[in-house]
Amino acid sequence: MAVERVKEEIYTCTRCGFCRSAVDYKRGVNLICPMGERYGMDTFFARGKVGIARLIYEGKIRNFDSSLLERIYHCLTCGNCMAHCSSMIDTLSIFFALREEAIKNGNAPLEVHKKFLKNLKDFKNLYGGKEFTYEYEGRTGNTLLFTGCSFYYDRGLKNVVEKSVELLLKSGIEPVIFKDEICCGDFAKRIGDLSTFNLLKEENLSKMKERGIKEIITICSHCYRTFKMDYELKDIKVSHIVEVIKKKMREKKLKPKRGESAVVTYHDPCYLGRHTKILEPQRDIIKMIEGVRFVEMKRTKENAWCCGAGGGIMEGFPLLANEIAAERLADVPDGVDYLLTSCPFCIMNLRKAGKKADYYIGDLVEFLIEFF
Amino acid sequence: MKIMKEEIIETLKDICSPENVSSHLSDLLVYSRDTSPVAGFPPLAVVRPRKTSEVSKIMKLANEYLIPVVPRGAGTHPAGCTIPLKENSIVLDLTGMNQILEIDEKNFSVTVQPGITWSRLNSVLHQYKMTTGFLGPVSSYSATVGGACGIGSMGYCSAKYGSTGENVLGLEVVLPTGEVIRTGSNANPSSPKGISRYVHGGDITGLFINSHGIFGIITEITLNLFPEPDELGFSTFVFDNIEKGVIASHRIMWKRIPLSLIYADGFLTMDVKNAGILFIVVDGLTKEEVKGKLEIVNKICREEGGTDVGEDYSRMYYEIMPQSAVALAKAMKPPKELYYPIIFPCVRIPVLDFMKFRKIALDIFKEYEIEKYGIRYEIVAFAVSNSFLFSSVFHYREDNEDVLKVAKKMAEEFYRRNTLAGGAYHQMGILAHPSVVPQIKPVHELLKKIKKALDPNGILHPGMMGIDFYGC
Repeated sequence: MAVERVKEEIYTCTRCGFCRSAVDYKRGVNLICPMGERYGMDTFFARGKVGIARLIYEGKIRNFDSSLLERIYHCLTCGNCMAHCSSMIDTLSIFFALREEAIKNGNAPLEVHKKFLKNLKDFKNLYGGKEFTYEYEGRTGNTLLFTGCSFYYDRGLKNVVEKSVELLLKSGIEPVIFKDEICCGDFAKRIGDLSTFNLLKEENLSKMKERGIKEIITICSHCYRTFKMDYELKDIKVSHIVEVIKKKMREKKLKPKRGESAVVTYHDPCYLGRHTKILEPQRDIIKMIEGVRFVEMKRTKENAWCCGAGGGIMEGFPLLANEIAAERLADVPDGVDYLLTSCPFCIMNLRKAGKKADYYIGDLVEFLIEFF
Repeated sequence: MKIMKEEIIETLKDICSPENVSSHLSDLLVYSRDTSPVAGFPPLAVVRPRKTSEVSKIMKLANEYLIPVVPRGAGTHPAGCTIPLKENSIVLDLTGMNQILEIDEKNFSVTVQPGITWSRLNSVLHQYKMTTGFLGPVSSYSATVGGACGIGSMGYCSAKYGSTGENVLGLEVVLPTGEVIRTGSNANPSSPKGISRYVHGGDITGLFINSHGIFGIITEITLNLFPEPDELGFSTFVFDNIEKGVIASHRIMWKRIPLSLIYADGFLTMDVKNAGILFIVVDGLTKEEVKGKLEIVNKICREEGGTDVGEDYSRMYYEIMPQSAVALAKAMKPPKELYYPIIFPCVRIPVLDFMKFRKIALDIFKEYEIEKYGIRYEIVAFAVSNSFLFSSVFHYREDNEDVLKVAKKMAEEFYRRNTLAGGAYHQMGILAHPSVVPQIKPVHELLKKIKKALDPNGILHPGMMGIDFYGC
């Protein structure tokens, strides 16, 4: 039983409800759960979902009907509940276990997610992309730049891969890119499809071992979380590109030049911020550039409102994802020229909701390259 | 019964729109619990009304079919005040009614719907440099204003502002039979809200405060409004002689100066054992006023043998305690037991009786061999105007049947012995009322008569506070 694995977490819940509608001006908290606020019933908030996990574990709920699946899959896995839990419960592990349980039970995945899981099985990437077309002279080395299928196969984002390579080369790192790169398995893991996840994981691991990879640099925050927390890597170091850039700037290997003055804000991707606690390097980098003024979004760092894409919501319920993205864009302060982030899902989703925005929505690396 | 159930659920969906009504097993089971260790009966439906008129229609429907109705806010008090005690009830989750209706600076009042959380209300008021004075219970992140009225919550700044009830100026209530009334000056539609609660025939408001929802469903609350304190001062003292700390608390409270005063013993969050810790916050209009108050506080504490450990602890408590324990953990690194489910049988006691109630608590902990069950405790007393809210907080694991049983038994034992020792209760949930009711018989008889008059079918939260004639 997958929920048995998280028994300790389930029984630590005090049902205090802090994962419900907390607002706290002293700490910059303004509500916790985009899904709960929408649907209202306790079972759409973390407290109720933890309750569901307990009831399944205790055998009081056995039937994974459509209403139960609706509750289990209406979650962005943004981790805001985890960040504000009075018992410091790892709510995310509980949610992922619930989804595994739903799949084991035979009623999940949801129809809307099946297409994407099929892509993962058939093409080993989320979008059914057939060919990895990025032209990059194959280098040999032990530092892998893992581009991530979202960056790679989505046309609007492909330049982020190019810019990332450029930036790494400038900083003295010659990354390897696998021409036969496959998905890290993030989506399968989030949906609870462990068998697909494990297939991708095994293939990735054996490739990395075979090619002597010692370090992975990711551009995508979901790949980062997956390698860092779901792969149990022992001999391979995992870094997100923002960590690498910051380090190289500190070491003066990368020296920013003064560019046009700009006002920049940063949207914390949930998987980079709350999941893996990388909150400061991005800000430090932006602040090290002369002429650029950094302003925080209204809700920021561990209080950041999710963009609405995570947990299979953008793939399964695009309209809902769009609504939540619009809420997030309302947090952008006035007079901003750039809304930057470090996650392809955030960029895609925020761009859709921000078609009329008078600022550029994109990846931090795209912005940075102009200064080096 | 099945056909009738479906008919009722359909009618509820007509009243409140389908997305606000659930009869899914997961909701029924989740809503049969609150923060207490006891599970109630799963209801037949959970309903989230958005308007007073919807609540009124639901009550009329419930009377027609004789269905019990259990109102609840966020369900965050561990005395079992919001769990259904009858089968096939309707749970009314009022957290969807969460709007601020009016901030009336001219008349020093704010009117809200019951489902708004204390933290949200005060965060909005902060934009106008205002506050509700009493800032809500420790669970103010999730606890609702309506829920606090229902069970008379106490907590932050209660030393100065008292419990929830003292700050309520008027209510809108849906009576058990569906009629809507307004209390105090709010009864006159031409009056601004909240001029006084004692007008128009007496304190009808008070009838509904702490009534655990058995007399009516509160759908609108007018609270007293205060300016945010201009200046704050903090002071923390440790007392090796715990009794001396109680005397110091009493002397300070008699000066009527603290905004917040908390006296704790066996505190898990600080490495202080067998000693009392006194957290004091004072407020004032000027720095001088605050300084003067602190001088008095510090002088009394020193005279009673206290050691000044600086202002930081009290400041930390004032600023982060009503909030997430994550912040608390970062600041104080408490042991992991602090995060386990808690029960805190809390009781209003005379300040000078602290040692007596402490002994009862320690006796119970010893008798029940809590160490064997991995149960940890802390004893915390909040000053609430002229008395203490004494809580014997204990943290336990819910995954072990034996521990759960012991925890429940201990809770009941606390209520029993504390009542005999002269304690008074705001929260009379399922864990408390069996012990309390025999001690308060005459007034309990009166409560029953009032209940009978207001709710002839006995459908509103039957069984709560030991009043039950549903189905008779």
